[in-house]
Amino acid sequence: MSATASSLRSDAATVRERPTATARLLAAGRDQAVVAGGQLVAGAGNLLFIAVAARALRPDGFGHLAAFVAVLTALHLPGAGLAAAGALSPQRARHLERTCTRFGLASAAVVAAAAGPVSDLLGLPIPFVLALAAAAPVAPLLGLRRGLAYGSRQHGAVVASLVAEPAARLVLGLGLGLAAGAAGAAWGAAAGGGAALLALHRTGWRPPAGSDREHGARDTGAGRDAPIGLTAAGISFVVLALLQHQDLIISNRVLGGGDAAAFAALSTLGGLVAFATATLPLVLLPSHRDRGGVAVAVAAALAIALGSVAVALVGGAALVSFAVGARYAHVAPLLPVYLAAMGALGVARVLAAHRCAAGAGRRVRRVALTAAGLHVAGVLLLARTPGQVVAVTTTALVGTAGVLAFPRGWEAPAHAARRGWLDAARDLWQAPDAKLLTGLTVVAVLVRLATERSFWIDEAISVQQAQMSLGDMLRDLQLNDVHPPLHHLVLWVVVRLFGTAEWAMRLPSVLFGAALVPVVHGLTREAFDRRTARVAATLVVPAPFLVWYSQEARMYSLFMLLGAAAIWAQLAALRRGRWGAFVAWGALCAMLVWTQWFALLPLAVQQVATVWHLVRRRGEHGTGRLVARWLGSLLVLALLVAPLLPFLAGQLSAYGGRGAGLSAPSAAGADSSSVAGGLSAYAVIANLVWALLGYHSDDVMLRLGALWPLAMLACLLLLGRRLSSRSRLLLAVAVLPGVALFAIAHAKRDLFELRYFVLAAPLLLVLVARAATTLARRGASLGVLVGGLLVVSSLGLVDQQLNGTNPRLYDFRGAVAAIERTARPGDVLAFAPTYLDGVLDYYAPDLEGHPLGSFSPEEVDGQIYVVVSERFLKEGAAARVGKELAALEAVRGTPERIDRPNVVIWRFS
Amino acid sequence: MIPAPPDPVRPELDPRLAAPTWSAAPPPPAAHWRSLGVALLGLVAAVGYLSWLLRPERIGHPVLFALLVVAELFNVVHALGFWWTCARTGRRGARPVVGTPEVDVLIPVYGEPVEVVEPTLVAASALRGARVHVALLDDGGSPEMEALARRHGVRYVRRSVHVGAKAGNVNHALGRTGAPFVAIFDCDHVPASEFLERCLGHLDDPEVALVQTPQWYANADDNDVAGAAAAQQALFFGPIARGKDARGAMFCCGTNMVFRREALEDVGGFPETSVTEDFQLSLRLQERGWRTAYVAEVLAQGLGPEDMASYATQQQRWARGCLSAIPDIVRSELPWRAKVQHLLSATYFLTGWTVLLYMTLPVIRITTGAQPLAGAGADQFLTRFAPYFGLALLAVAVAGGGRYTWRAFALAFASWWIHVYASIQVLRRQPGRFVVTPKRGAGGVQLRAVWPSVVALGVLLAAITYGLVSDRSPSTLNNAAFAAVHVAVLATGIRPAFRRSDVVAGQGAREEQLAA
Repeated sequence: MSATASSLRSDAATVRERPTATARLLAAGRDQAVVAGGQLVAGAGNLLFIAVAARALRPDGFGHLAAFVAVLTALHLPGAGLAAAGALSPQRARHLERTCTRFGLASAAVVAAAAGPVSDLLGLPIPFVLALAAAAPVAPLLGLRRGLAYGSRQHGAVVASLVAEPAARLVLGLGLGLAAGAAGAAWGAAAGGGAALLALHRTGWRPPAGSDREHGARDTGAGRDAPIGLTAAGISFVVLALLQHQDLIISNRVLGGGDAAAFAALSTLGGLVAFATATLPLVLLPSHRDRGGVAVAVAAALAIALGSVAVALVGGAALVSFAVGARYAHVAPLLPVYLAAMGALGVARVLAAHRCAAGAGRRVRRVALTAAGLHVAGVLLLARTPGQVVAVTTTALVGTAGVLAFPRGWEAPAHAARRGWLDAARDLWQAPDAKLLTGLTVVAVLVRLATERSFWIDEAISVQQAQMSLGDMLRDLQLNDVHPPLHHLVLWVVVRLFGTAEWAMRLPSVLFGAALVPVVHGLTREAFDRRTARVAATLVVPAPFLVWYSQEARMYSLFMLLGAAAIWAQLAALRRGRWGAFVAWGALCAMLVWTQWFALLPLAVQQVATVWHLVRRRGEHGTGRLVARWLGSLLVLALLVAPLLPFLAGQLSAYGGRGAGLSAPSAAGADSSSVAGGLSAYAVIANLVWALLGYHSDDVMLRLGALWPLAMLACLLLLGRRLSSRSRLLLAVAVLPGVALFAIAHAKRDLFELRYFVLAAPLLLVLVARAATTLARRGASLGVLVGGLLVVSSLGLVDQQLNGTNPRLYDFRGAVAAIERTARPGDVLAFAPTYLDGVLDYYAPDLEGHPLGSFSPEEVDGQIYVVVSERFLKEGAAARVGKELAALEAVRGTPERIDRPNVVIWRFS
Repeated sequence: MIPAPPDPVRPELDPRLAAPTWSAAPPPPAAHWRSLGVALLGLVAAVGYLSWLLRPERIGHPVLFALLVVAELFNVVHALGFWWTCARTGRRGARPVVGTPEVDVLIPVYGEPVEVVEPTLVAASALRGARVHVALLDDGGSPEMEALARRHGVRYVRRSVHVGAKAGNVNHALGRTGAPFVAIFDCDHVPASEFLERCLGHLDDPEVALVQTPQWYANADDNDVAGAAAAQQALFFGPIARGKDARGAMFCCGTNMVFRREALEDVGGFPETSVTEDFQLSLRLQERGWRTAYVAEVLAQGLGPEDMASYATQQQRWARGCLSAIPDIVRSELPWRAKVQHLLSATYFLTGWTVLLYMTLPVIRITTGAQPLAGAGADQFLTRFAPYFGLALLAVAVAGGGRYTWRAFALAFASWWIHVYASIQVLRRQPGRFVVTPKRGAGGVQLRAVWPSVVALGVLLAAITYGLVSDRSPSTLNNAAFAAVHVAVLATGIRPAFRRSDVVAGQGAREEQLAA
């Protein structure tokens, strides 16, 4: 009786306490308005900071500061995801604080430690990079803390934090800027994040320590297993934030200088709309069940969008002129559309928040990723004017909002409680060797980034091709090249994203080379055991040959990565018999073929080995299933390679038509060392030395080659040791392509060159690791052995990288720099052979260049510089060059000779 | 007071009682054909190498060149001999024993520990397929042995005059026994119960004088010296012995064999003047028209040398005996195949001279600049030599079924001085002394057993150091690399001499484990 009465009382109280719909709408509107006000102030403050800095600083300093702020903004992008996660579920997201702190500190340490390379990469002076490092620990923490504040509805704290950031920038940034210049302003700007973080504390807010309910927070999920999709939500918001900026980044590469600037002006104004709507979803997330809250947020986003469009329609030209200058007034007609696109992004974010909170985070993530991918592809492939960029962006963002607004299909899936990416990532991190591999990979990246090498001819040709339109590039590859297009396609995208700087062009190779560390680990673990895998992965890091090709803007790094991954997949497929592994194997093999035609050799060995394996297993249980799946993998391979066949046919036809590529560089490499010049035993030794110890001067190579008796010792050590089938496979894939090319090389010498059977290098390292772990059973002796191998490898690396007499080193950059020191208007640059044009055009686009012998010296008033790379000159060509030089000398007198590695410059005054 | 009898045989402590870990059986036909293929390629490579080497323009320093040519010819001949031997492989089927023949089983002992002899005695008494009369031939006059024989009910034979070592001991016993067949086991070789069932059938052929079976060291896995020696034995009792059998040239190996008494009496028993009485006996038997048979099945397991001193003792005896038999082989009226086979076996113990030369050449080149070859770059030498070297190694690996190991090679390489010493002794006609191979390993440093190799090691290291300090030209580096290879092989070969015999430690641990 009393219980019933109590229950009734309670219900009555609930009825009494439940606010009306109007009150709920008002409350939601108030919350949104308060935070939006803070955001408005923050935007104005940031604008003021930039405006004052633009006037107070010198132009070059301001340029650095603007670039710094752009990078700082990018640094805070992941914060969008963390803020969303914190707002969605403060109870769960607060556990990320320690991870954020660690990650931020680690990032800061890496950026500070690599300040030099990062400075080169970003084009920012070191103090700016250090300011960036100082801001790194704050960025993720600030995003998370703000999210927690949203989630616990501490809107006052949020506003304080939003306002504190520009305030600190204005006070500290401008103060330091006046005292210490742009670098001081940058430090002040970085300090803004710290102030914002501090403001969250100073307003009395603390992260909830226990249950969120104790602190008045409301977790939108029902507990730890609730189908919230926290990680998915976080990723979705990061991707949506990227959607706001990526068109600017890509169009900067895709469009010409003037058009890129015009779109940048549009983007700046559009960014204001996106900025104004940025807080709406975060306020909404904790109260998504409240229909009023959703309605208010959508309405606010629509209002901002429509309002801004209206303003643009009415006074677009004036607005553009006022904000970014009259010279960009011509883009005013595009402004309403672009602002509508940004408004649609605001609506999309609100809807994404609503869907995420309702448990459909993974689908939102899928939509966001798809939209981002299509957006990038659309801008890259279709947009060649600012209008086209706007059209693509508008289509992508309105489409995204439309999909998110579509009423059906957003119910929380039944399996939504499954583990998220974050849990999977955590498990991965806890997996054996994960930390070791992460460390080794980071070191591998740093080692591969540390190069001052100039482009050489092949790289310059690749860069030249990657700058063409997609169709032109593919046509050029078909008509004038001998390689399949995958790596060129990668470079083509990179050119559009990051330009043609040396670091950008080599970035894919660096990343592929570093990725070889975990792939070799996986391959070795699959083939042998974890102990050997650790040794192999460690040996990959300083392996000179692998480092060399990880620093070259060509396809060999990708070749090694895909080749190693393909063998890994093959071993896994044959051992476990899973469909996924077979399909992956087929796909990796196809990618290999798309990367290098010579990949057909290791692929053939792999397939023959598989046939051998299956024949030996005939009659055993499960062999029929293996055969079926292997045929499936062949089908995948065939399907993926089929589109390449017309390309190959065209290339073969063109190759035959031009007389087997006589005009192309002579595979520059096989004959780049006199040690390996002939097809002798030393050519074999030289390739082996290159594979294990890298490229060295002829003098060093002769000495290393003289140590061949040590190979006898290796043979003797193998006595009594049976090679496992896995070892035999690795040995076969490593050696047989080389043997085949050695045989072929009797007809065409250039082909016996390690980079055409480049897969041998990582596989030999795996076998060396296997030999080491077999010979040294005890940990201490293995440590000594591996230490010795690392020392030898590191010595090889140092000599390869720093010894100027390395015959593979071509210093065209240095040659051009030497010319530019004395060049005057009217001077002429002559070069031989003719295909130096690409590399010289890359380093000296402003110098007038002609092939040697193609002009008359009498017609030139200024100096004549003759650049010759003798290694590329065949016998007849060398004689012709000598004759031309003699003729020049007769007219101009004795030239000054300047020597750079593999490049000679004659300066005729 | 009567001493307490020793512990009964404990199989868990004695590896000889476990199943053998090696099989001497012929490989499957495919493996044999593979071996033949490698041998043929090796032959081509050897011809190519010699045709390149034996040219006037290659002569550098004449004396060194001559020595190098002799060494290379010697090794090529041995390689060819090895391939020729392995090209055929004896595949003897099982032959049933007719009736229940009488067999005298003779077990000579000379001071070995009782616990080594007792399992052999027990196993010999349990041999199936014949009426067995076991006799313990004690040349040491040990009361423990007498008690052991009494305990197991076997005949105890002791000589009053000790002449002719093991051969004299067996001959003495032959005069006091009378079964038509005689099986002989070294006292550490424990026969399997089916030993006679597998062997006696082959003696149905009245022309067969002896049936030999493999020696296998059961302690191969417990001790690195025994392991390396066992790997050497595996090569001999595997493809080589099968090949010799197929060519009618298998010889008696001192233990694990059954004789026809009539044949032994025909040649006057075991020769007592040689330290390798078994080899000499085989020559005499084959000269008298008797044939030999080899059953490629491990039917008895013994104990291999467990330390360097034991190994050196054994090798010295074999080298001495075989080298001293060379004149007899040359003078014998054997079929040419058997003669060549015996010569190959006997002259193997000259290999140490070639090793000495190979070690010396880089030292001479580094210190004086003199070298045997001229008119050829290192790459030419490499092109001609590497295929021959690689295929020779591969042939050993393939023919031996992978049993011949790096340690076995290193141990043989480090025994170079034994061959040199033995051949000098034979040339000087110094009388040899039969020294029984110790059956238990000793601990501690055994410098005496390896000191010539230690000296060689020091000289090589000094030459490398000198070369690297004085001249780092490719040529010097090439010779230093050769020297380094020799250093690595020698160091591995003599390593067991510098540590406590681990079988002792291992057995101690096993016993402690059992006690616990």
